[in-house]
Amino acid sequence: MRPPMSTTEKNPNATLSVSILSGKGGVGKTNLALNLGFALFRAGHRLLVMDFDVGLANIDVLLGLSPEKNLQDLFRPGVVAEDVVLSIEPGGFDFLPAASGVPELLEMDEDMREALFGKLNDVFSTYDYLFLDHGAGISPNVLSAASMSRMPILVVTPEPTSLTDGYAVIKVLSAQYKVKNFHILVNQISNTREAETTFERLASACERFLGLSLSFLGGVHTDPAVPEAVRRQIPLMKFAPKCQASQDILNVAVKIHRHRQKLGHKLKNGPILKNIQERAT
Amino acid sequence: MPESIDLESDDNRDAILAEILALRQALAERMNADPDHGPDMVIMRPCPGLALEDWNELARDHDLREWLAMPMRGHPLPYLKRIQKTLRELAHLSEHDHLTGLFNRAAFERTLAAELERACRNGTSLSLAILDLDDFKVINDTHGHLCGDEVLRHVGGVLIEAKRTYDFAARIGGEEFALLLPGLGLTRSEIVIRRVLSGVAGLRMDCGRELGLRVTASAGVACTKGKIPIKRDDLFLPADQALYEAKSQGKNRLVKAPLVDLTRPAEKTLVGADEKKFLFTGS
Repeated sequence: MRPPMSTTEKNPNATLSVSILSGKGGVGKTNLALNLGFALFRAGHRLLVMDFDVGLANIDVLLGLSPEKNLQDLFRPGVVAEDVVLSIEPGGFDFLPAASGVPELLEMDEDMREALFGKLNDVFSTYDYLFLDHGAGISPNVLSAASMSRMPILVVTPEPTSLTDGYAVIKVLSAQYKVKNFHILVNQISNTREAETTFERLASACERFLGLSLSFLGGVHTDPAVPEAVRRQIPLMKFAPKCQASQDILNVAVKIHRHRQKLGHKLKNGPILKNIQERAT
Repeated sequence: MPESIDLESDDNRDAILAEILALRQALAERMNADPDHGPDMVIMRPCPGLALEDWNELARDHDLREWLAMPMRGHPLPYLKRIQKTLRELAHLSEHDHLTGLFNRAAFERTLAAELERACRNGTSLSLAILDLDDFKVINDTHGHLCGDEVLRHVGGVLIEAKRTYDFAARIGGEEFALLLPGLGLTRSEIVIRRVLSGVAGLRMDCGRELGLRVTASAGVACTKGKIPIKRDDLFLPADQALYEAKSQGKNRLVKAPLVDLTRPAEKTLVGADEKKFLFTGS
């Protein structure tokens, strides 16, 4: 691991940055980010969910919030991170909203991202987890941003098209951004066996064609409580904590927590988000 | 200072002139064809008895403007300023075509190389148009070379007017011009080139007795999208070929060459058919 560029890039709290990704839209990525976050918060961790689907942001809708300020405002002089961060639950479950329908945010280049994260780093370091909810697809902007995190989670569904799109994300990220440590979450399964076969199919393709081994985070069942929670604009974990999907999400959250524990003090040695030198191929 | 010999006779002037002309001949044979590489030299020779006015006359009559002169008596400042001005003019001449005021071929080649590298590094488009006046030989033969020069000057003016500020226009041959359009693909560069062609066709020149003389031009354009590194000829030859095509289609028109690099070569990130099949079927 590269030494930190400056003292501001140190990570004293061992904040784990987690990217939630998908190749295809509509696989439940945003909902999973929110509820995995909620589960970790309930387990006593401070967590910030950052809506990085800049241009097509949606977490605020899932929460029934209407933020006054968003990421874009941080480019204005005088606006600090604290002005933008919203509380989802008191005690350390917070949310950093992005702007919808702002195409220029999608075209953020390295300089703009550096400037943005420069402003955010001190805030990031007060949390145990930083969740980045990215847009779907393989546009260079999504992937370049996703490659900054320490733990990339790829959400797929058992649908074959979701599998090929997810595979494409892995292939591009590994070839162009040196990302190798993918964690796979299979959403919208009808039984546990389906999650396993979906993962195995993807994992053996990656093993065979890319020489990559994937980690399995588990599956989340299709559950009628999910659309209901979305309609009511309440996190599923809060609305129906006992339902099957909530139980599945809890299991995944435990695995994420174990991953952070395993990384341990290694996290403290580098910046929360990888810098460009660490990612350039 | 060598003041002992004070020859002001015409003999002396002729001797110096003969020496310079002989030297010029010898230098032309010896000097490296590529002035950007290899050694550089300044040659000095005291010319006792030669007055500055004499030198001015010699320089004018014998086209010695590249030769720098400085009197050895009196305050040097005015002459140093004159040398500076001459150097500036020479620098301008080394990059520009004196007839049209456009850049010359050497400057064009340098800029083309730099822009090709920029396009590829930044992944941006670069278009190159080559324009050639139609039936220029007829104008020269019918109305004389002075008239031909007048036409070339006007066409140069059209190019400067019609191009965008940061496009690069050069005269690269007798009646051949080049226009480099950084950042523009085929479709957008066509707009600029058509503006040039219709500007040229709209010219009405009065050369001597010939009033309202008209001229047209043909153009070929080629474009790189900056996706792969390409060499000068990969862009220049397709543009030249397109120009040839425009001529053979009947002149006064623009022909676009096929894109040099529509896509990158198959990348390491491409998901292949075998990979998709495996994902779908497991084998």
